[in-house]
Amino acid sequence: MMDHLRDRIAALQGPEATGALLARVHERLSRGEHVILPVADPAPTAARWRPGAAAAALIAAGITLWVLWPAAPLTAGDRQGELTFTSATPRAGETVQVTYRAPATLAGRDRVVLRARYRTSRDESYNDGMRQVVATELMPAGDGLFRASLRLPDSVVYAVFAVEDLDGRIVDSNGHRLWELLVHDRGGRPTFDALTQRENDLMGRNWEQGYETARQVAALYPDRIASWSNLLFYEKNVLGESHLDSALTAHRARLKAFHDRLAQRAALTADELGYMFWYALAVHDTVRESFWRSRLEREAPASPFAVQNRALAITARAWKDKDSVRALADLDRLWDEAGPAHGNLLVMGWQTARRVADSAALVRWAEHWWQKDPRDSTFIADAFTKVPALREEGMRLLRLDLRGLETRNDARRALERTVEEQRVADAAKTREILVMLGDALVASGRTRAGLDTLTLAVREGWDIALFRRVARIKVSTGDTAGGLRLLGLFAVDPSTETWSRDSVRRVTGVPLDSAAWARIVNESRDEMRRRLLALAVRRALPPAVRLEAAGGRAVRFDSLTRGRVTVVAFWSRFCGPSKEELPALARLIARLQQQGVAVVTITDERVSDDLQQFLAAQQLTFPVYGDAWREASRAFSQWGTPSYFVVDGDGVVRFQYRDLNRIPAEVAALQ
Amino acid sequence: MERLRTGDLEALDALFHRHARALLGVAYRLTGSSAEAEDIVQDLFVGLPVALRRYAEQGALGAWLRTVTVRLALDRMRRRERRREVPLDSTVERTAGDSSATGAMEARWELERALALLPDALRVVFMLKEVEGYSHAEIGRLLGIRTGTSEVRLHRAIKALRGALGGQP
Repeated sequence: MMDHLRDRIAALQGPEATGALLARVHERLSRGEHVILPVADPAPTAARWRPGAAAAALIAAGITLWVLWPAAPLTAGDRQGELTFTSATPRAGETVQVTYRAPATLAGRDRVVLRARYRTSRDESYNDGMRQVVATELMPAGDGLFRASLRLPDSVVYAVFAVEDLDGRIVDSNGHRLWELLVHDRGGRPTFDALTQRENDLMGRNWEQGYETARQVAALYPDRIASWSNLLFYEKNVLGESHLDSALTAHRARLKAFHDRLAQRAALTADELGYMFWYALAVHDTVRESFWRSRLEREAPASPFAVQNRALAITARAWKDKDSVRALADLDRLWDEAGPAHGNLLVMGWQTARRVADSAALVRWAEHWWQKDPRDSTFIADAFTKVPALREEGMRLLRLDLRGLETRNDARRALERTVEEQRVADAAKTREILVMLGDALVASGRTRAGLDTLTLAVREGWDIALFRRVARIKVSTGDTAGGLRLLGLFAVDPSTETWSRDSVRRVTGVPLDSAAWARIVNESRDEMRRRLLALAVRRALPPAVRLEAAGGRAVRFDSLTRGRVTVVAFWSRFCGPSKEELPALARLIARLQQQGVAVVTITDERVSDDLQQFLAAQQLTFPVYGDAWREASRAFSQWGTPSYFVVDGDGVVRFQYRDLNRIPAEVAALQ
Repeated sequence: MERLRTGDLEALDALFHRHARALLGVAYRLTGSSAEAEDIVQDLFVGLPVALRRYAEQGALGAWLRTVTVRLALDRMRRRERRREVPLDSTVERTAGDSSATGAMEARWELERALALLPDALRVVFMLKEVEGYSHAEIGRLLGIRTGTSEVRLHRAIKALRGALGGQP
C-alpha cells in the first residue's frame, strides 16, 4: 500500500517547464537581479531555553517583567529625553499626568507635541494602516520639564508615544523603542487585551520583544487558551524547530488539560472556541482539532476564526470541483452574512474574483476592501489596470493616490519619523505609483505618455532594475541617449554583475565607442552619489561606545573604524530573519573588506564559547562583538535585528535600517 | 560549467531544459502550489550563475540542484508561516480550466487535498523521505531537526495520509 501511495504522489507533476518561465528568468537576469541561493544546510540552533526549565523560568520571567514594568528609564542624552506617566498603571479611560524631561535638542521650546498610536482590543497585528494622532501638547514647567494631563480614550487598551517639536522636524522616539502605556486592571496587572495589543504593535517591529510579551501573557494569564496558542506561535518563529519538538510535548499536555476542562462546557466564547481549534491544529492533534473546528463552526459561525475556516472550505472545494464561479458566489454570500470578520475572507474573495476575471466581481470585492480600510487603494488600482475594462478606473485611482501623497498627512506618519523622513518615504511611494501608472499607459497604447510617466519615476531614487527596464523602453522608442543615461546608472551600481554590466552597451543596438561609454559611466557615478546622498541621514554617534570582544575584553567602537567608512550589522542568532541573512551578510562582508571598508558586526549576547561554536558551525569567519553594556544599541537607536547602518569616515551615521543589497552602493556613495 | 558561471544564457537555457521539469515537480510537491513552484525554480535559475561559482563540482549537478530547490522551498514555507499566511494558492489555483473531471482527475484532487491538509512539518518529511529519497540524517540536516524527529514525523505523516484517504492506498 505504501509503495502504491508513494508512486501516486511521485507521479504528481508540478507545472510545465514552459518557455514563458524561462523568459521570465531571462528578464530577471537582464534586469541585473540577484538571488542568493541557499547552498548550505542551516546548522542546528542551540535553543536559548532548556525545555526542562522552561516552565519555571517562564513564570519567573513573567513576574520579573511585570515588576519592572515599564522598562527601566534610559539615560537622557542630547537627542533622547525621558517621558514618565503618573500613574504608570492606568485603568481604561483614566487621566494620567505626563512629564517629559527634554533633551538638548528640544529644551527651551515654548511647547512640544506628544503623538500617539492608540490601540483598541480589536486592532490587528502589524502597524500598517494604523493611524497616529496628536495626544496632547506638553507645556514648559521649569527645570527643563514639560507637563500635561492626558485622558486615555475609553476604548484604548495600549498606546505608544513619541515627542516632537511643533514642526515635526525633531522627534524623540526613545531610540525607536517609543514609550508605552498599558491599561491595567483593579489589581494593578496589565490587562490581557493590553498585552495582546502590545504583541500586535511589536509584530514586525521587534520579534524578540513580542516573544517576551507572549511569555509574560502566559505567566500572567495561564488559564486563557489564547495565551498558550500565541506563545506557541512565537516559539515556532523565534526559537525555531529544534526547540519546538520538546516544547510541543508540554503544549500537547496543556491542550489535553484545557480540552478536558472545556469540552463539555456549553457556553464558550467565540474566541475560546477559535483558540482551542488553533491550538489543537498547531500541536498537530487531529482528533481535538476536528472536535473544536466542528464546535466553532456550529456555535460561532460568523466569528473571525469560523469565517476564515468557512472561506478556506469554499476555496478547498473549488480546488476539487474546479468551479470558481460557484466559489465566488459562496464567498459573496459569506461576505453578506459576516462582512469583514476576517481579513482572509477578503483575500480569498479578491483572489477568486481575479481568477474568474469578472470585472464586476473585482469591483465588488474592491469595495469590500475599502469598507474595511478606505486607504487600501494602491494594490487595487494596480490590479484594475491589468484588466482592460477597468484600466481607466485603475489609472484614475492611481492619480488620486498620487494627489494624496502630495499633501502632508501626519496620521500616516509613523511616530518615529520626522516630517522630512516621511517626505522621503512618500517620494519613494510616489515613484512606485508612477511606475504602475506608466506601465498602464503603455499597456493602453499611450506609449509616449507612459514613457513620460516612467521617466518621472526614474528622476530620483535608486532602483537599478527599474532603470534598466525604462532604458529598454526608451531605446525601443528611439530615445537612445535617454536609455544610455539610465543604463549608465545601472552599470555603476557595485552590485551589478560584471557580465551584466558589460552587456548593457549592446542593448542599444547602436555602435558606441569606449570613450563615450566611459564618459557616461563617469557621469553616472556622480549621479549615483548625488541620488543616494539625497536619501541619507546625518546622525552623530556618542564618542565612547564600548563593545565586548572575545575573552570579555572591552573595545571602543571608534578604535575599530579608525576613520574609515564602516558598515555596522546588528544581528542575533535567536532571531529567525536575522539568522536567515547571515550567509548573505558573510558574503557581503568578504567583499567589503577587500575594498578596505570596515565592518563591525554586533550581536545581542555575550561573546561566549557557545557563540563561537555557533559561528564555527555556520562557517562564519567575520569578527563578532557583543553589546554587553547595550551601549551600541542605544548609540544607534536600534531595537530589533537584523538592522544595518553605514557610517561615514567622520563617524556619522548616514544610512540606516537598509537592506543588504543596497549597502555596496551606499558605501560607494560615501567613498 | 565555466560558461554557466560567466552568465552565458545559452548554457543556462540548456540546463533549464534538462532539469526544470523535475525541479518544478520537487518544488510543487513540497509547497503544494504551482505558482510557488514556478517562483522557486525562477529564483533558482536567476541565482545559478553566481551560486555556481561556489559549486565545488563534487557529486552530480542534478542532485545539487534538487537539494538547493528543496532549501528554497523550505525557506519559502518558513516565511509563509512567519507571516501567518494561509497557503491560499494551494486551495484556489486549481479552480481554473475545464470542469469535466474524470475519475483519474478526481483521484488526483483527493490525493492533493490529503497532502495539502497535512501540516507542513509532516508533509515535508514525507515528501523528502518517501518521494525524493533523502535519508533521515539528510532530512535532519536540511530541516535542523534530529534524525529521530524526522522518523517520528514520517510515521505521523503516513498515518494521517492513510486516515485522510479513508484507508485507501
